[in-house]
Amino acid sequence: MDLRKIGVKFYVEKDNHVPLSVFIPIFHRFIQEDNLEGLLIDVAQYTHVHQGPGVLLIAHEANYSFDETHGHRGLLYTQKRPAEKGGLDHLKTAFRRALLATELLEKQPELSGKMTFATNHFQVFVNDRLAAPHNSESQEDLENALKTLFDGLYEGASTVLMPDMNRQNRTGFEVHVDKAISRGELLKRLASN
Amino acid sequence: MTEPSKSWKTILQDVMPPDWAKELDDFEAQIQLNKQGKIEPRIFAETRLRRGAYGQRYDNGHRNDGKQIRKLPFPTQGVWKGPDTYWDAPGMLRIKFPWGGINADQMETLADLSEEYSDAISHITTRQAIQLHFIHIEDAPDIMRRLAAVGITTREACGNSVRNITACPIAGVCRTEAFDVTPYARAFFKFMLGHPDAQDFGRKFKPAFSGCQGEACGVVNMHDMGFIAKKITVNGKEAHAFDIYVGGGLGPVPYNAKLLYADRPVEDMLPIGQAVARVYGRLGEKKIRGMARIKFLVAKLGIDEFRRLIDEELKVLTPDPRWTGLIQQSVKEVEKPAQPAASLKAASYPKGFLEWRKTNVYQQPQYGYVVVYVKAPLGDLTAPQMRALAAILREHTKETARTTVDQNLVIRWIPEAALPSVYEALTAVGLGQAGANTITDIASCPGTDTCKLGISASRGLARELIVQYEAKAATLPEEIKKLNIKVSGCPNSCSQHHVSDIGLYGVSRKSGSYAVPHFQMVLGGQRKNNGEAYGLAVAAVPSKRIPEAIERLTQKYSKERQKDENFQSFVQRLGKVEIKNLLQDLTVIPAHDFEPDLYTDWADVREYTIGDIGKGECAGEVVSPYEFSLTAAESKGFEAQVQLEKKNLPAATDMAYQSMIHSAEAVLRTRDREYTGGADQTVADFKKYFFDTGEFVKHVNNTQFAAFLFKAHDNRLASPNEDEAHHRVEEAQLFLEAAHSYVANMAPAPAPMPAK
Repeated sequence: MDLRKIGVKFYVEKDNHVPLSVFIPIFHRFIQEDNLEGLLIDVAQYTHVHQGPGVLLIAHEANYSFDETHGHRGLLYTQKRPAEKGGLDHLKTAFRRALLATELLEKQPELSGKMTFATNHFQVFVNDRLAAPHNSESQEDLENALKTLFDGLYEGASTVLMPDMNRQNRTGFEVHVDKAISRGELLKRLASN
Repeated sequence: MTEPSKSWKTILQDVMPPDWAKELDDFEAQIQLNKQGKIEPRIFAETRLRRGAYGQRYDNGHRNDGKQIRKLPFPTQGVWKGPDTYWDAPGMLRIKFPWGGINADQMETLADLSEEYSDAISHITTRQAIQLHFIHIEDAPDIMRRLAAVGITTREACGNSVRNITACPIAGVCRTEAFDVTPYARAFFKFMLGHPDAQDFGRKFKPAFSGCQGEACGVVNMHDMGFIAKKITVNGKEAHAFDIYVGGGLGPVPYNAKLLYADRPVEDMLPIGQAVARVYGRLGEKKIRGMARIKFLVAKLGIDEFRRLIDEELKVLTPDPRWTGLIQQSVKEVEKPAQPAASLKAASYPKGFLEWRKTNVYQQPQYGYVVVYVKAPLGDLTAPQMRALAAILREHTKETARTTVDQNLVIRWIPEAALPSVYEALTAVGLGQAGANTITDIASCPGTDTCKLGISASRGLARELIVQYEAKAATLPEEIKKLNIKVSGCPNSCSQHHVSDIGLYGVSRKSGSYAVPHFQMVLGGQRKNNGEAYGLAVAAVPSKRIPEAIERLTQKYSKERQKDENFQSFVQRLGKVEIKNLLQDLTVIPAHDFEPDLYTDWADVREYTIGDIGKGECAGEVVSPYEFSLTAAESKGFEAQVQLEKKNLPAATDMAYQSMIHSAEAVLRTRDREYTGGADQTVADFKKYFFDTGEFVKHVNNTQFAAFLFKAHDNRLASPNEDEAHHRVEEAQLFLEAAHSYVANMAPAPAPMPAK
């Protein structure tokens, strides 16, 4: 198994129709304040395209974006550079960074009270069609890796993994957890496991 | 999942054309050698450029974050992929699509690549190529292999080479063409790709093909080399021929292409192309990059002498069987429909269908078939949109789509009866917007979003204009709807702003100690007749006030135009003085505290700077002497344009020259507040203290602008022709812009000049 380029998207739970343009100053501020992990480089915005990548915070290792692909809004963390350490540690890093980004977004004055992110509904995929070609073997490998992660992370809850049906030719799952666990608790578990 | 030892190289080895596979292995080896310090970054830069791997903004490791210039600590230190270009800095990959042709597999591959390596967007350029942004150089070979596996090469997409071959996107399905130029564009591409005679150019070389003289699609007039299809009669039989043009080009100073040969049989196309490449490679400028395009060589020699050289070259060329072989092979590749022709049946149509059909559907001469124009906003298509387009192509056509120079996409050979279904499929992914080729369909280069040369946010402005015009599209008068707008982030014309009704290019102005983003408005360009006439700059307006400026102009046009008067004629009739008066109040910049929004660019909250140099530290709002010189230069430049308009050519060139002298004086006054000197002394001092030292070039990032001054000083043009006068006036405007850039970028307290 070679889990080196992971994508995690936490969907919005509450969204008072916040316009995409709101994320432009927020992401610029994240660069100024250097308050997300990774080397933050620039902001790219696609407010003019339909259900696209929205507004992106381009980083060296990965992109953070407020994404609208397929009409589902959420915070997407997509790794671009393969990490030195693959496997479960890498999966944890992707989850932790995505969760931290959602936490930070919810604290921004422009979004406060207007947008929250679910911690029990998200998408996970391998952003590498070489390492994880879209076939049953890859799906099974990723499913096993996720179940291992979720045993600790979502302990006490049951998770449902549904294969991503969005014709993206990419190995991935939509994940539903039957119980909401706080972001703080999830981050604590990620740190301790 | 796949074993780590598997690679795209091994998986795709037998799918890629063998020569392309070998080239990509070599390129990957060069990447590694460069990383090990075994290739000079300067050499590697040209190597990667010829592979389509381009630099991007901030690749020098510095970015203004709105508060400070921030160093970007890329992880790989001490390794460069070009002079002053960090190894890890994100770059752009330009992918050639000759004549814009693209099929379903290629679309799906682009979708995958954009998700894995880029930002999930494929960006159509104004030369029918597609770009991916934020690419790491080490990913480039695998991306290129995956493209090669679906028949795409990025070779010679950038660098001093034969760039993408462009052609009318409706060639072969056009009602006004002499014949389908596609087979000839294909042959030209195959012949010139990697041709030994096309490897030693001083600059890029852009060819274009057009099926007719009268329309705009091919815009041959603005290309280094262009072919316009014609039918001729030979021995009583109809034959295909080309009018062949050379020496056109946009860039900061646009040049009209000159007719090299008329009525040449298509079989002569490749040897003439080869001869032109050889003469350009041999005689073209190599040292001064800004003067190295073939347009300068043709202008310098004159078209008659250039033609004589080509004639001589043709006599000594070794005959090549591919001259005719490639054409014979190419004309056999005929595009066909996938489904039988069928007319649209009267029915109840989906919502918005009729409006969309009115603007986005073109009736082919082949009965029962149509071309569908897909509006890609600012040329951007998402990965799911690419996949949806691929599905539409497979369902209705033999994958016959093309990109356009207006940053859209056309799908050809759609049976008319399938239109409602195609419309619904497009609408499902947000691509069913009406208004193709109208004022809501605005082309823009990347500008400050990603381009290293961008001065103003062209995409930000274009996006704002699209929003405003789409909101009122239903109520716009037809004459305004028909106008087209093109926006470039700098004077380099990547959006082709010179050949649009309303062209805009990014410039900056200084107000006190702040820089203010502006756009220079270029009016009166003519897109018809292959880009027949170029517009002239009329006024630099703060970026945030451009929508208001356009609104005033278009409203005036709508109210005061004479019967059937087009925008170009209206602009000419109005004259520059009246246009300037109309916009005058918009050009006045209030103090920063009164209107801080004016000091930021569209969709960018950072305080505006050029070249990421922060706010200067010059004290207060005192007007410096150099500002008076800049104002004088503006004034003379404007007078030059007025004289040009009146066809008073000697006066126009003289005023342009005086404008340049004032601009040079402004630069000198940044270091000597009381500088005065006659023209000779001003030019000599400018050369000595600002050009020879590299000081001016360092801050404006271009050698060409200073060369305009020296040329104008050495050759005062007592009896200029219209072309020469036009060029001189444009050059004066650009030198003035460069002086503004210098002033905005210069050190806060420039060192004084040595005492004379």
